[in-house]
Amino acid sequence: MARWDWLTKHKDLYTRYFILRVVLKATGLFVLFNLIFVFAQPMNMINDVTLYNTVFPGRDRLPYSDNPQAAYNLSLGSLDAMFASHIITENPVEDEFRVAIIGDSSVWGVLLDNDQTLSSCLNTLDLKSADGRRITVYNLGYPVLSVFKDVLLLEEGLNYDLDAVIWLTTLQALFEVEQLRHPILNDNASRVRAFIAEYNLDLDSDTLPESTWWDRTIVGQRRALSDWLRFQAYGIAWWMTGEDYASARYLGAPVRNLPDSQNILNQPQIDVGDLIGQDVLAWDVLMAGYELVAMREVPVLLVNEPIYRSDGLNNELRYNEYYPRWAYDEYRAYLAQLADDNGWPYLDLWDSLEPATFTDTPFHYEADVVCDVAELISPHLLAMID
Amino acid sequence: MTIEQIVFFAFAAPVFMWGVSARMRPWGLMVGSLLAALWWVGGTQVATVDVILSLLLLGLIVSVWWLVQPTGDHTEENSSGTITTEDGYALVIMTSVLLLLGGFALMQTDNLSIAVLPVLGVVTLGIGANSLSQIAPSVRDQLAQSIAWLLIILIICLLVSLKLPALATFWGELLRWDTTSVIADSPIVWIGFSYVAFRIMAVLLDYRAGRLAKQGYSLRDLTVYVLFFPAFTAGPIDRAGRFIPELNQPQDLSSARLVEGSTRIAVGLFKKFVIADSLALVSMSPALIDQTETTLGLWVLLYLYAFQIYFDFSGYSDVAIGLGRLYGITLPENFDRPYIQPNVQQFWQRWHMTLSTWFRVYYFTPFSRLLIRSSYRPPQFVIILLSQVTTMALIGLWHGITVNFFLWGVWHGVGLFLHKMLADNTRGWHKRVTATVWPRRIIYFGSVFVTFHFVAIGWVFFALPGPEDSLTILTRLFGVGG
Repeated sequence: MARWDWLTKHKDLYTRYFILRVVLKATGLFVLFNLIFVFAQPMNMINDVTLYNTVFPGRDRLPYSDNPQAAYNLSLGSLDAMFASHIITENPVEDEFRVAIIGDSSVWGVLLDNDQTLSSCLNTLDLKSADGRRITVYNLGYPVLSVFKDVLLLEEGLNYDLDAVIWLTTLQALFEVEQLRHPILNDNASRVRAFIAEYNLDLDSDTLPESTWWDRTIVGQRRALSDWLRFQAYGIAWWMTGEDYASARYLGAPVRNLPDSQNILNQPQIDVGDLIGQDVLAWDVLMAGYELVAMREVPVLLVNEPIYRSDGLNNELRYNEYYPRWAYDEYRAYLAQLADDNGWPYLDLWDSLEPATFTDTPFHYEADVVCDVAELISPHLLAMID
Repeated sequence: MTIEQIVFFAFAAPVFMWGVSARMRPWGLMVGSLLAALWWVGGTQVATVDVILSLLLLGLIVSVWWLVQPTGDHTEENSSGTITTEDGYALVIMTSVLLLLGGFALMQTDNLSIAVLPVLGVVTLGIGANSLSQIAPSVRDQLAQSIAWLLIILIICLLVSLKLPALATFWGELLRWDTTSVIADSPIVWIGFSYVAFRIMAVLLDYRAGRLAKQGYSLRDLTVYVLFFPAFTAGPIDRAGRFIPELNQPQDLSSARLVEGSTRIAVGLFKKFVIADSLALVSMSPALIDQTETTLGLWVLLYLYAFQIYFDFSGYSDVAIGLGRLYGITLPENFDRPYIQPNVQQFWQRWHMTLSTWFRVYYFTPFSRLLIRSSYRPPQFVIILLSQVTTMALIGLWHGITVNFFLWGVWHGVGLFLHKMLADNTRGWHKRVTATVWPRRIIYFGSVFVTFHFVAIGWVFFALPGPEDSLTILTRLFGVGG
């Protein structure tokens, strides 16, 4: 006999009254636990609990996956849980100079293994700071085009003794309408709302989802609980294999023959020649990010990231499917001016890579040239921190 | 079974048990089991292949029912082949469910074969039942033994067709001519047939061996026995001689039964959907093994797989047993702490118990007897070796006809043989050594450790697709190879 009879051995007790009491008690306890959950909000504490960096090694990049089963990785909603699994939360080594690199999917390393990313290439350069400390670059990129997301990750990353920051961005990450759309920002809505209020940003926080009473119950948080558990389980596979990414599909090269259009992709409301004047870019978010690091006296190297420049049809009008030339040129000029006006260390790498080296989008490039980009960045990083 | 189906069956149980009179409950179970079985065969998108499989399933049940009917005193005048009223009702129910399936399928497609096939099936069923009832008992008896063999061969052929990947793909492509979905070229899958086949074969083999109850089984009882929905998809494999009498002495859903059943279901759900499904994320799989670089990592994956498969399978069994309790049937146990047994023989007495019992009763014992009684009687150890290895190889092949399942079976067969030889030759020593507490404990824990690892290493064959992969992993587990 399977030994489950210890659960049910007092058969003589099992009257209908007994069952009614059990059902009532179970219902009562269920309601009670949900209420406790609502008021105590233990998810914050649970998200801090992790097997990473203790039982398993910390992850090299933030949790993200569109193919969890194959990647042994998962897109999480909670920033706490994301950072808890990251290697950056390990205690700093004595002679370490800690640099975080933030940005979009090209920094996170979509289509790249975790030893092929920009941070990994920078680490293989074995850089030293002026005082002789070994520079370790931590990958805090995340595959979302939004500078607000960068600032959010930067705010959290600053809790981990950063000595410097490399911030890669592009025009697409600056559109105001794109800032709050993504799950990572919606899942951390209260934090985002507080940040918008604190820095008086020109963003509509009403578009962020309101957390209802129901959302805060165990039932409402079941997905977060399940994700937390699954993510801990994937830690075993991460530990065994060192794999954290499985490319679900190769999407093909960026569009070479471009449309005969002056519009910015997904932003048709912006008039030609008037990108900066229309106040559609979230420069205030970028500035807020700088305010944030300024308080901690952490230097930031701002990098305009490489983009694909088509040599196909209509390339005289557009650089790629995202950017018409006029818009991107306006953006570049303004970003350079902004950096100059504020005294920000700035590096423009927009045309540093050949078109043939790009993979599936105008922002992703082949593993072979990632380290070339790292080599272009490294002298500027060293110059900034010296 | 999905969680939704399990929860539905669990909540429907009190309504059924308290709302339907005891006399009518077997009928209710028949209707429920038929609907569930055909649902599992067809799913939400019924194609012609599903109708064919459903017809085949019901045809098998009706054939076996006809076979096991008592034949009276073997005189033409006293033919007992007449269909009883109860069997008539059962045939009407089967017909209605079949037509319902056809109608449901016709709502989804304009393929007329889907409508014609059930009608043809019903007509064949009617003509067949009528013709069979006219056969004189003396002729019938002679026919029946041959038909029983033919049915057993047919079932084995069906099992082979479904479990041999190449054949399953062939049948899938052939029978899904009217399917345009992505599954059109995939192997044919007949959910639950492994269990259905073994229940039917048990009846046929018992019939041939004269072990069946004299009064035979009614069509209703046989249908419920073969298709009982809690045990349809993943067992346990009950025996008709135990199941059917209980079906006819229905238990009320007492408070004790309700508590036992629902507790068992809760335990099963937790084991399957929380523990096993979490372990499945990271347990041994071909991709994960390829990416794992260290020997320690491979051992961890192996342990995780061992526990995943246990919690998965035993969880499903708990759910089936719990649902059975709620519906008034005590299904047999299938797992009983298999990983803490001191030898492989005791492991097999506690792992998938109903399957191993089936093979012991219907293959191992008759085969051993055959060898013992044969004129070329081989030595004792050869008889044991052959019986153990062939039994376990067949158990392996029951899971799927692949080299790896065969090797898994042989691994256990050899293990059982070696254990038997060792136990026979060390009995005196074992008795002396284990007379005191500490040596007994040490030997017990050592034996459990060795047995668990023997079983766990065997899972390498079970989990991986080919023998080359398995051998590579086995060598890597012991630090050999890259």
